[in-house]
Amino acid sequence: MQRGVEVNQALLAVLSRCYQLLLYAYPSRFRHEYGVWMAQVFRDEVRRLLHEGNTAVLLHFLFQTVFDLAKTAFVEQIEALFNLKMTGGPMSYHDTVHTLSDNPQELEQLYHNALKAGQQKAFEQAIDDNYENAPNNMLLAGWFHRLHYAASQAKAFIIEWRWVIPLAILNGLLFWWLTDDEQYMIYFRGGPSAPQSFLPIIFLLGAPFTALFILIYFTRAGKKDWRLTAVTASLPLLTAAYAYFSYAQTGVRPFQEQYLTLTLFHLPLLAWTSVGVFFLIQHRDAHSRLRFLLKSIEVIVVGGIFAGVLFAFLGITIGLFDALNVEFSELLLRFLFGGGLGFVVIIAPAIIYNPMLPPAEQSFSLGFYKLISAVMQVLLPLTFLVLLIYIGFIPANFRAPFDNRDVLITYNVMLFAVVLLLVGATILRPADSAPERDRWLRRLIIGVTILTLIVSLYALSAIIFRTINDRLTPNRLTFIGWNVINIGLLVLLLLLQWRAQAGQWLEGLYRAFSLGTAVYAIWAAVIILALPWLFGVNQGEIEQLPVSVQKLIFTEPDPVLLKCLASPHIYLLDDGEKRWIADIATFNNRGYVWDDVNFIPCIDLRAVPDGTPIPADAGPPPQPE
Amino acid sequence: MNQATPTPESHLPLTPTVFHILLALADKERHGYGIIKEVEVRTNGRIHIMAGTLYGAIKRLLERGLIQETDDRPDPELDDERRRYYQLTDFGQRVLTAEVARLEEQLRQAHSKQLIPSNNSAQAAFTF
Repeated sequence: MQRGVEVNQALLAVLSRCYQLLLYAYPSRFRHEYGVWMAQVFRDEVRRLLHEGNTAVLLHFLFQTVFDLAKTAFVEQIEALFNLKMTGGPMSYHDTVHTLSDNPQELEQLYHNALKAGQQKAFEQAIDDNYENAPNNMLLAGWFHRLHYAASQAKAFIIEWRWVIPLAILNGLLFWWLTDDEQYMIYFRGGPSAPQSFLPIIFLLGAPFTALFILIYFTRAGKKDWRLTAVTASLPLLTAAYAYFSYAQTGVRPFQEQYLTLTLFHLPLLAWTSVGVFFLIQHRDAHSRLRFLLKSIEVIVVGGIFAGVLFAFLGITIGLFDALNVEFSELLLRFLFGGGLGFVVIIAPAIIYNPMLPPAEQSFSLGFYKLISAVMQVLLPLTFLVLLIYIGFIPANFRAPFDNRDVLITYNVMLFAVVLLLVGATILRPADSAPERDRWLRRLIIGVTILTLIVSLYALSAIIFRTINDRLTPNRLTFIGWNVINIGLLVLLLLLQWRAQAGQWLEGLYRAFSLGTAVYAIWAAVIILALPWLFGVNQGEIEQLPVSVQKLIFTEPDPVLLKCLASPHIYLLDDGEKRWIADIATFNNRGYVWDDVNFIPCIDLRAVPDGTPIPADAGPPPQPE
Repeated sequence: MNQATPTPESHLPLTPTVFHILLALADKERHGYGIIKEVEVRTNGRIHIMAGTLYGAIKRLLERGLIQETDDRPDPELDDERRRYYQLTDFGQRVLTAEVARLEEQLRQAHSKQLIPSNNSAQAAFTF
């Protein structure tokens, strides 16, 4: 009997804990307001059902709870996203502070809520006003001095050099060690050719290890929970390990190359996301997320400046010695460049981010922000003008992105640049911006968003057109995804602006960008995790083909076109079959060029099984003679 | 900007969940679990409101001024934990009354179309 009670209590504790974790699916405001009561209701009901001892009813209740939670969390998230009234506009804490002016505990809680809502200034204003009206109130006096004097002392920037330097040296040594291209290389796998190296393994492991050392530093300096560090740091490391062991699954060499290249770009994003999760897990509001994003931009810029200065310094040093015919060994060069890079990527975040403060309280008053802000304000109208003129030229060259992949790459770079510009122009907007200037800023942001949306839809249709006419590749899938996400972000931004009332338009932008950062991270993870399994090849089928064709499959990028000298016919190699291209018009319409055509012996070409001709009604495919 | 004061009718029709929550609060203040249990008992277990649905509805009812939190503790001896109680506001009471009147009117119309068997005909059906 006693044993049964203990089991029930343990089960109740576990289920309650699980439910509390699931509550994170709700918007943070809703969770803070109702989470504790919902958890209590859940606990009451589970306790009753455990007491009754009917397992089937309990399971049914748990199933219903999960379903209800998924449904209502979705509704609340959507409502939180669109209902700007909840957080929009500067709030007034005047009356609340007045009411709580004799309640230290509640006032402290109000302050933390204000920080989470990004309303720190409004809270400070309310304290100032109330203290002015009641100078004898000791609680208000304490708060006044805390916010104006003591807090500024506490916020003094802390850099724990005795931790930063050893960790940076450790990362530098790791970079030095893993840049050895004699020993630590990534090789393309599979196919009849000899293994061919791609890149040193540091390109895969550099970002996750850097994130690990950064997190160790911030945990130590910020006195954070080491368990959180273990979880957040292990995610990018495990993802890198996953990519290393599964990239061969993508099959052919061009796909392996595409996957690894995509991973090299997405893994740093994911590694930095893990750092973001570390800082934001307890500050999940849109304001904190944007503040972290802003700090991230600063880290990238400052890290880039450090690296640039370091490389310039090393370049001059090497040049000086070279003038005296003194050459640096490869080992020393790797130490200086690889090790130096590993060193500065730890130093940069450590000197930018104050480990003692949450994201919303970080300092953003340095000259750096004013400079970037000024650049953004100038770029925004220029971008609007360029896009307007550019759209005018599209009808005259409508087919360009449909025929030329380089044009598409340019569009994607443009799309990211514009999103970054919108983020920068919004969150770096001067705090004391005049209303008239704000109105123009809003109009420009909406204008640039609409024009970018038009160009993006045009670019997306071109990628989809090329994909339908040819095939889906890892690169195309990735960029279709990025396009869809960015277009969704722009549409959401417009929707929120359309719904926003006067004075709340910035809140709408914050929400859109905040959501965007989360979706970016998710898509980066999907790319790395899913691509190997979406583009796998059947090794057995490929081995049935002639060796000359196998080599092409593993080495040539898509499309692989086949021809033999004695025959006029050209075939597309598609899924282990050769598809006859009926005429030159079809060849041109599909965007093929002569460089795509590979010559192989006619006997090998005949050995490849026939697939559907192009077009499908072209009749029976002729065999190469 | 002046906004028109909402009338009880502007909140109609109520969803079944909201109707049952307001009905549960019609006679006395209750906490969340108390509302769930009252609805369950009153509907013979046919309706069990889940926590997410309940507090989503409570949030909207608070925003619209149909209910309010109360510091009263009707059963202090029964509460071993701190709970948050809710009660109907006057406006909420008027909305609930208007909804009941609306439902009655619909029921009356259904009767007039003889869609609902009267006691006599139902009895006759059983007898026959």
